[in-house]
Order: sequence, then C-alpha cells, then structure tokens
Amino acid sequence: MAEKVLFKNVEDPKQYLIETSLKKGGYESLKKALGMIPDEIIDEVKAAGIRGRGGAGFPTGLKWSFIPKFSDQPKYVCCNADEGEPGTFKDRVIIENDPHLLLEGICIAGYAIGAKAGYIYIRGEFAFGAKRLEKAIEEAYKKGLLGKNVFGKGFDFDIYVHRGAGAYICGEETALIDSIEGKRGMPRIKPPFPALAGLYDGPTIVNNVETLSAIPFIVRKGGKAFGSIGPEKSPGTKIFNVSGHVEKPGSYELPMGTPLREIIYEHAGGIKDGKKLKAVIPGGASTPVLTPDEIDVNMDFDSVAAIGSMMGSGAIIVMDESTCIVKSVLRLAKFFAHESCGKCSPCREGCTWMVDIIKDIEEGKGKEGDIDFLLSVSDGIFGNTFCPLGDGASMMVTGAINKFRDEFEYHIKNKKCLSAS
Amino acid sequence: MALITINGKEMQVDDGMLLLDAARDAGFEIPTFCYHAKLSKLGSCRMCLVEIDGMRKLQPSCVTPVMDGMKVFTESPTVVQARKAQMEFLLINHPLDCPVCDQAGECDLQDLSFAFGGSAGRFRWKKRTFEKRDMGPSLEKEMNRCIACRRCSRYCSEISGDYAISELNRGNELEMGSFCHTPIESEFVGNTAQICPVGALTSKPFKYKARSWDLIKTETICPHCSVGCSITSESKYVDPFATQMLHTQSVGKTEALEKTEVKVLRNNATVDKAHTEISLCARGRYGYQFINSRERIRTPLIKENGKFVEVSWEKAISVVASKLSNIKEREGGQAIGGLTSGICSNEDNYVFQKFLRVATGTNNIDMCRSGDFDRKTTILLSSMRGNIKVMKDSDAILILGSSVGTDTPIASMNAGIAARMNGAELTMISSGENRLLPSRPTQLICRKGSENLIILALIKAIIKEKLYIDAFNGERSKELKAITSSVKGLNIKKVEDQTGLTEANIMTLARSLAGASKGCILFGNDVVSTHLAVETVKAIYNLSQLLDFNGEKGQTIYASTSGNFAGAVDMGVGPDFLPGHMRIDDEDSLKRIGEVWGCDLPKEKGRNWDEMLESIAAYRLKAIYIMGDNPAATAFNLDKVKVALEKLDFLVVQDLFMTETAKLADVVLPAASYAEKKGTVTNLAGRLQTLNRSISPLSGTKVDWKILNEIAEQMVDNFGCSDLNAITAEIGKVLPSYGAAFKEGIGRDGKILPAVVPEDVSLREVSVPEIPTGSELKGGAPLFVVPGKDVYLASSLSWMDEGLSTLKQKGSILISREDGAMLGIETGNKVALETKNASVTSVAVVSERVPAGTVIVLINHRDFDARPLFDKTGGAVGGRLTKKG
Repeated sequence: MAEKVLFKNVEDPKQYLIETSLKKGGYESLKKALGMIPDEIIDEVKAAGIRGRGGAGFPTGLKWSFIPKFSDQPKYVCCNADEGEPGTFKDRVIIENDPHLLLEGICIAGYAIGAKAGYIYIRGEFAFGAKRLEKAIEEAYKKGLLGKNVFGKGFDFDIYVHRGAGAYICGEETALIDSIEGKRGMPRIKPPFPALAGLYDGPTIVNNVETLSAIPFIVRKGGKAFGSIGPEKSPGTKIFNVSGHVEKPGSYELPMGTPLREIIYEHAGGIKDGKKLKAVIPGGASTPVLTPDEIDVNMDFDSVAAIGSMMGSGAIIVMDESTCIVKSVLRLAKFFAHESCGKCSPCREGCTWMVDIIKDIEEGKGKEGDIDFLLSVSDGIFGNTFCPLGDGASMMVTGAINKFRDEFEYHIKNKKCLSAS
Repeated sequence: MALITINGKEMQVDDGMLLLDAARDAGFEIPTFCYHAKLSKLGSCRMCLVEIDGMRKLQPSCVTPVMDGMKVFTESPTVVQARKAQMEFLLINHPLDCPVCDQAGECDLQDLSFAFGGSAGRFRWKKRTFEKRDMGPSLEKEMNRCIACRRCSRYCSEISGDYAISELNRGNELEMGSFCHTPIESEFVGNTAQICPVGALTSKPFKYKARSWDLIKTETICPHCSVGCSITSESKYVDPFATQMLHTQSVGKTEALEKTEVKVLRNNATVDKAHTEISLCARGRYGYQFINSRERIRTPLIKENGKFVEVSWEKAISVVASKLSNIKEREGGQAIGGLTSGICSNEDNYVFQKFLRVATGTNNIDMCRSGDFDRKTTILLSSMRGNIKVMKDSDAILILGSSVGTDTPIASMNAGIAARMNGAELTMISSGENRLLPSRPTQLICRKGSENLIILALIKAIIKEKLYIDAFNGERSKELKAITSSVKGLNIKKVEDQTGLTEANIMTLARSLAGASKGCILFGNDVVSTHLAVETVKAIYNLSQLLDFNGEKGQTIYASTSGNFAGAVDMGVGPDFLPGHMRIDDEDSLKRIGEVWGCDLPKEKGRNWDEMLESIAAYRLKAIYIMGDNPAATAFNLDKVKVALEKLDFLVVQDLFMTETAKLADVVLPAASYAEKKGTVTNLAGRLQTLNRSISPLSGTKVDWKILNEIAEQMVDNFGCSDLNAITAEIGKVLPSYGAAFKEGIGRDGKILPAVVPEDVSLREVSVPEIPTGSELKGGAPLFVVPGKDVYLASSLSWMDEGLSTLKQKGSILISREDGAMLGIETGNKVALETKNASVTSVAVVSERVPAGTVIVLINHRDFDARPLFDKTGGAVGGRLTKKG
C-alpha cells in the first residue's frame, strides 16, 4: 500500500485547525518551496509527472511552464473547487477536512509561477466547505502563512474564496474565470489560453483541488517519490469516489492504475446485497459506461481511454442488475440539458432534444427508429460544441446505447423496462 | 503572410486573418449567424465549422486565425453533415410563423435553411416558448424566434454601451431581454433589430407595415443632425384600401389618406457607407413618419382677413413675387430679410441666398443658430471639422457640453466606444445630462455658462506646463505670446469659484489631452449658445491650435444638431459673407460672384437674425422669407420673435408643416422633405454627401429650390436655377472645392472637402470675458435649473414625427437620484418648478444621468413650454422644486 498523499490526515476531526495541521507538518513544504527557485518547483512537478485531477489529465508541470516568466499583467492561481460532476465528491473531503493542505498547495503554485493572488472557486452548494476555507485562510493570515512576507521570505500572497452560484459549466476553466470576474459563466474562446490571458487578462493557471493538494507532497518528498507511485504515464495516487450499488460507497485514495474490479469488490465491499453488477460509469457522468466484462481495466488515464471510456475525475458510479439503463441515461441527460449554458447551438438545443427522445423511450412512447434518431442527434452534438459539456452529454448517451442497445429496444418494443420485468 | 490551402486552393493571406474571411475572400461560402464583423468574436452558432487537417475536431472558422501551412476543407462530408445538424438544431424550436414575421425575406435563418437545411423536420415534441415581453416603444421582441446568436447583447455592451439587452437564464431557456424585463429606453437599441439575423427583434413602428420584398430601398443621408449618417430609406407604394386599414388600426379613425402614394416605412443604417457602420440613433432610425404625416401642408395658403385660404401655386408664387418686388421698389432691398435652416440641402440654401441677394437685393440672410456670430466666428465654427469614425481610435477625448449626447448621439456613442473598448481617457465637461454614464467618463460638472472660462483655464494650464506642440516654440512663437498675454489676467482661484472645477481637474485634463497621440475635442451647441458664444468659439479654436487638434495630433469637432450647418455656411448663408466664405466687403469677391450670376450684388452688409428682429421693431425691415425654420417656437426670446413677426408687412414661410411661425405668415408655401429631393449635404466632417430621392414630393408640395426659382423668375431675368444640374454647375463655379468634388464625382462614400482655413482669424483675438457671476442662483434657491433636450426630439424635424413622439421621455423635468430621494420625488410624480422668471408643472423623471443639485428641463417637448423659466439667453437659473400630489 502506497503512502497517502492526500488523505493522510483527513480522518483527524481536528485537522481543519491550523494548530493540528502545523503539528503534523503543515506548511513545511511551503517553507521549503520558498527556499527554492520557482523553476525548481516547476521541475519537481514535471518530474512527478502529475496529471490534472479535474478529469482532462493534462500534465500539471507543463501547464505551469506555459506561464510567461515576465508579464505586465498580474498572474493568478485559480483553484477549481467547483466539483459538480455527478458522482464526484473527492475535493470536498479535502476542503472540509484538510483545508490547509489545499492552501499550502495554492501558495506553492503561486510562488512557482510568480503570482501574488489565488482564487478558490468553490461550488455554491459547498457552504460548509467554503466556511472551513474562510476560517482556514483567516488562521493562515494570523500565522503569517498568507499575506505579506510569508515565512519572512519576501513572498506576498493572498487567497480569496469565490463561491459559485450553481452552474456546472463554471467547472470549465474559462467559464470559471469569467464567473470570478463577475460575468455570466460561459466558456471563452481558446486561444488565448488562460496561461497567457486568463483571469483579468493576466497569465493564469487553473488547477483542481486534488492536483494542488498533491503539490506539498511533491515539494516535500520530491517529484520522483510521487512519480514512482502507480503507472509511469499517469503516476501518483488518485482519489476514487465510489457511489451507487456497493456495500461501502466512499472516497478511496489509491495508487493510479488500481484495477476497477479491485476498487469495486475489495475497497468498496462489492455489490450491495449480493446482487449482480450491470454497469459502471468509470469517471463521472460524462464518461461512457462500462459493462461487467470490462472492469478488469486499470484505473489510470491511458488504460481507461484505451477501452473507449475515460477515467475523468475518478467518479465510479456502480449500477446493479435492478437498474434501468434507459432511466439512468434519462436522468443524466436531464442533468446535462439543465446545466448547458446555452452558448452554442448544438449543446443548447441538442441536449434538451436528447432528453425529449429518451423520455419518450423511457415512458414507452418511443417509436421504431428512435434509437438511431437519438444517435444521430447525439452525433450532431459530438465534436461540434464550444466546450466539452455537450461532448460529455453526447458520449454518455452514445456510450450507453452502444453497450445496452437491447434495453432501449426492449423499451420501444414492449413499452416497459427490461429490468422491471 | 501565411500560405494556406482551402479546398485544395493555395493562397497567401495576411497573418492573423480569420479563416472565415480568408475563405469568403477566396469565394467559398461559409454560413454564419453569430458572426458579425463589427462585434466581438463569439463562435457559438457553430454554422461555420470547417475541417482543418491535423485537428481532431471541426473548428469554428469565425474565431480561428489562419496559420501558415493550414489545410482547410469547407465542404468535406464531415463539415456538410455537421452544418446540417446545426441547422436542424436551430430550427427545431423555431416557430413556423414566417408568413407573419417582419423579418421574412431578409432573414438569415430562412436563407441558410434553404441553402443548408434538410427537407423535412424530425422534431415531434412541443416547441420551446417564452412569455411575451414588452421591450419598449422601439423594439418588438418575439423570443420564440431567437437563435441565441447574442448579436444584440454584444451590440449593447460593445457598441451602444447602454447594456439595454442582456442574457437572462441559461441553457435551453436562455433569453435575450432587458433588466427585469422592463421596457427599454435607449436611443440606440433599435439598431439591434437591424443586426438580428432572424425575426426575434424587429422594429416596432414597422410592425406589420410591409413585406420586406415590397420595399424600394434608397440610400440617402439622415437629416436629423450634423453627423449625417448614411441611411437606407425604405418606401412602398401604399394602396388606398391598405392605407385605410392601417390607419383605422393605428389611430382609430376611419378616413383614409386622401391620395395613394409612396410612403417611407422604415429607415436602416446603410452598413459601412462613409462613416456609418451599423448604428443610427433613434431619430435616424425612427424619425421618418413626419415625411408622410397627415399634418403636412399640401397646398399653398394665403392669409385673407386673418384666415388661411387655399390657393394655386401660380397664385401663391405671383403674390409672393409681386409683394416682394413692391417692397424692394418702395423701400429697397434692405427692407427684406431671409432666414433659412441648416436642415435644407446645399442646393436649397445656395438658391436661397442667391434669391435674396439677386431677386430682392439684400444681404439680410441668416440661419437660425445659437450665437450672434459674425463671418469670422461662423467660418471658425464650421472649420472645426472631424471624422467621428476616426474618433473611436482616439486615446483622449474631451466632450464639451451635454448637448453632444442629445444633438449628435452617434458622435457621443463613438466617444463611448473609444473609452469603453479602446481605453481612451474620456472627459466630459457639462452642466447637464451625462448620456455616456455606462462608459464612465470623468464627468466634470460645471456651472452652465462657465464653459468658456474652463477652456481659457485649460489654455493657461497648457501654456504653464508647456504642453503645446513644438511649433509654438519656433515659427508660431508670436502667436503663443499673444495667447499667453490674453489669458494672463485669468485667476485660477476665480476660475475655481466660478466654474465649480478645481485646478487639479484642469491640470489633469490638460495633461491628458496633451499626452494623446490622437486626441479629440467634441463640443456641442450648448457651449456655443451662451452670451459668450463668440468668445467661446475662439477659445476652443485656440485650444485646438495649441494641441494641434485640428491636424496631426487630433481633431476638434463642432457637433451641431443642424444637419447641414457646414454646407449652409459654405453656400454663403450669412449676412456678411458670400458662397465660399468670400467677404462681402471685398470688391473682387463681389465681382467674381457677380460675373457668375450675371448681375450686380448688393454691397451693403446684411443683418443677422437678431439684428433683423431689431430692424423690424424699428420699422426698417418689412418683409421676411423663412425657409424651413421655426423661430416662433424654438427661440428663448420667444415673445420678441413673435411680436416682431406679427409686425411685419409681409411674411412668407416655406415649410412642411403649419408651424408656429407659419401660423404668423401671410403666405405659406408647402415644401418637400429631404426624402423627396435630390441634392447634396455637407456634414460635420466636411463630407459632401448625396441626398437621393426615396419618394416623389407629396402631391401639392414642391422642392425648396424650385419654389424659390419660380418666384425669382417672376422678379428678375435669367435667375438660372431652373434645374438641379444648372445649380450644381453654378455651385461648382463659385466654390472651387465643391466644383472639384462634383467633377470627380462624389461617390457613394461622399467626399471630404478640405477644411476651410479661416484666413484672418488670429489667435490674438482671445480676451478674458465677463464671467457669469451666478449670484442670482444663491439666496435660497436650492437647485440649478438647466435647459436640456429630449434626445428623441432634438432636431427640428423630429418635432412633428409621430414615431419619435411615442419614444420621447415620459416627463419633462429630470432630476438626480439624490435630489429625488431628498425631495421624495419619484419618476412619474407631478412636480412644480419655480424660478425667478416663471413657474411650471410637469412630470418628473429621476435619472442617474443627472448630476445632484441640478434640474434639467427638457425644452423640446411640444406640450410643455419651459422657455419662460429661463433668461432670454437660455442660461441656467436658480430654482425650487416641489412635489405636487
């Protein structure tokens, strides 16, 4: 069992207090980092090979190195805590239980890229988490770990908490930036990428909570220590959120590449009430569903991609034999339709249209040919949207039909559900 | 340069060019909805997706810049399929109401769905619908037709800057609307109807008036202010039955127009013609209903025993000719005078002054304007010309006077764009309404009437810090010396006391203007309509010289509401100058013009309008000919004007309507409007532009110059203005710059004429003026009452326009939010306003554009006469405001 990078202290009920955190070595990595040259930190992060934990898996060190060394505009660190993907609840655990770990990570990132301010964009529903963060920030200022001249090393850094107003799209980095700026949260045209012109047009990195929380470990133990965990191309530990029909749903920090079967059957205690497994969504609502014969896949970015799905944020949704796939697809399709920001036509019109069609099928009003019809609508969305939201909706629907077409057909033909019969 | 390949065709294109533009330039059609050349890039409709070799996904060509080596396919199967899918998405919720949609026939959705859409619909569910919302009097919104291209909201934030329309809700329920769904009050929001690619936003006054394909489109020039925007006037033959139906519906009366005729039904901006881009103000867009108004005079009238009697044109013309001839014979030309207007075309005004000089033998010629200007000042004023499109790229702009916002809205809007979008430092010195509020100008609120002092203080600051251009250290040092000595007596303490501005304000502004690489000063009528007008014009001129703001480093622009002010000056409308600004006291000039006209010119200097009024009072002036102006309604010294006009032996008024002035006339001659005539006008940039005739003169009316010519032909031989070509040729002869332009052809974009350099206006003429003391404002009168204008009615033609009357402000007394709160007054409350001169009651409007402590009284509401409140010069007065129920 590899050493815990993120969850080492989350079970301590007092860990959210700065005293506890400091006692357990909190902010020591920051102190160490402030003694390093910023580029050395970026090199360590590159050596760690850590890939973005928000779902896209972009190499973090590379992202940081895109920030121009010299810039007329102030630079910023944005922490993406808008954890909104259905099935995902990993960042919340860190925010609520070990907020100082995250603050430390943000400070180090800020120092590494030459920023003076960081924003934590936290999902609106995380009221408790936001409170904890505010409290933690207040404590850190009092201890001189934030604000002017941190650790007396001449480094100034401020962190602000910005609460979202309930939009999934604001988890997309440019929509997140717009939202912090007080604008309607809608994705921006890229390029320019945030690294060149992000928040208030300054060079900006946007990183997930989990990614930033791993930084103190990388600085303390070195990039190699992190990189040696798990597979070479997506190293480190990963928090897997297991939900649905399992005995022990929850967040598990495990090495990348842990087989999905092991996560479900060993860590999460197997399928609830001894029922049969029917389907698994491996990485959050937008990732194509897997069938039971695919669960020997190793949970890392490349292995899951190789079988046509995505590891995404590591949100594993387990469905047993009693689940109606059509109904669950409808539920998720409604989510995407509701969360579409409305900017681009295919996502705005298409997601709602898919709901219309799936709803008909689910309610027994489907017509022959509706499945191909649905696929063609989904095709019209996929690859044509402004941001990945519409792609996610499309992949989810197309993926489910590819794997469980018979269930859709049964619904149309028999006007009822296969799993209910 | 980048080498790219589109559909196998190799081409060199500029770096950074949009792929869309490159493809279109090469002749490949790419459909778009959200893309608009004048708006920020959005990339949201996804119609323009193209395939780029090496890229995983299709890319929106409207936001993708070209890159060297790019291989692009615009018609590959993937592209065609994606495009078809997007088209289908946009149509699934779109209502099938094309038969009753005003956009039909000019709808991008119709056109592109014909070109790229499928033949059958697959959508069998309930279409999305939105609640019907009122967008105010200028816009009709049918949200169900919206395709969410967001051109309207981008327009409102990027161009008009009033944020009138924005996005509400999200996703499938995304709605374009106004804040809290309140009806919109904006002079620019009508432009969104023109850029809306579908029928979601259409013109409300145009609603159900015509099918777009029935409209005859004519490119002409808007007459409503001196910006002279290019408009496309759209007219239609209206048959009697339809007229009756329309009229019954809209007015509730049953009678039809007496005759069938062509009607102007809509104005649109002529996109990218001259300085016009996509915007018109509300006057330009909606101020056309006066043209076909039922109130137009359709037959000549002669007053008999105090009552007007309809007469034939022959009769009317012979009466005018013989009356004027009699007076001329009896009392000489000096007993006759003429007043024209800056609304009339160059040809009209040219013939007008020629008529007075040749037929009646007088130089008593003027146009109604604010100041008591001599030739030098008039020419100086008209020499300050500049391009308002260029102004958008200025880095420092000074707006002098709040009338710029109401008189020339498009000029004001461009200043806002410079500030909001391009980061220009925008300063506004005004005593009244701040119509650029959302663009956040630095507003320096000054006492009305103290503008002159501020300009002099600016001049002093520039001299003190040596911020003037280098030339003043060298060849122009003598001029500098003269200016320096002329402002020597100016005491900054006194300036602070009198103007309300601080020394720091003035220094900051001086540095900002002097530091500009392209600066601009924009000044309006209210600055040059005080009793210090002449001095103010000179001071502004001097300021512009010091900064070189009439040359390399920037521009200084006189923004007048009078559409053809510059043209009228060029045509010689003035008592002491001839066409081409030639001096009346110069033998050579008289001879030159005399040769062209084939007669001797009157040599005696004429009287300006104020002097004419004096002469009437002294029984020296017996007859006045007024063309297109209405002094009996617009002057502050109204009583004096009315008494004088009533005293005349003979008053001829040539106008479209039975105006207050026309009612006093002995003969009223029905004229044709700008839409009914051909000719030219000259705008504030000195741009000579073509007026095209969009409809024939209404039956019974005649074009101004024609009427004048017919009268003149009965008075003198060989008047020589019987057709437009002859007039144009003659103008070309007496005004070489016009002659050259006519010869080369004005062209579609018009021709900018070289600015007139006032040859004998020396800078030494600056003098420190009498400063308005403002003392009468004290003594317990708590508020500063300032005359203002309703933007919708700010031009003389707009007064009679039904369309604009529906847009006008709902109250005539504007107060600040602070004063409203203090006095317990809310918008819609009836209030009484009392000054030392008079007391009036009206409805109050609480507006954030009004500075605290100021009451703005709109003087151009027909149903409300506010002029008695003010002094005869229209200066500010102290006032008291009370709520009345």
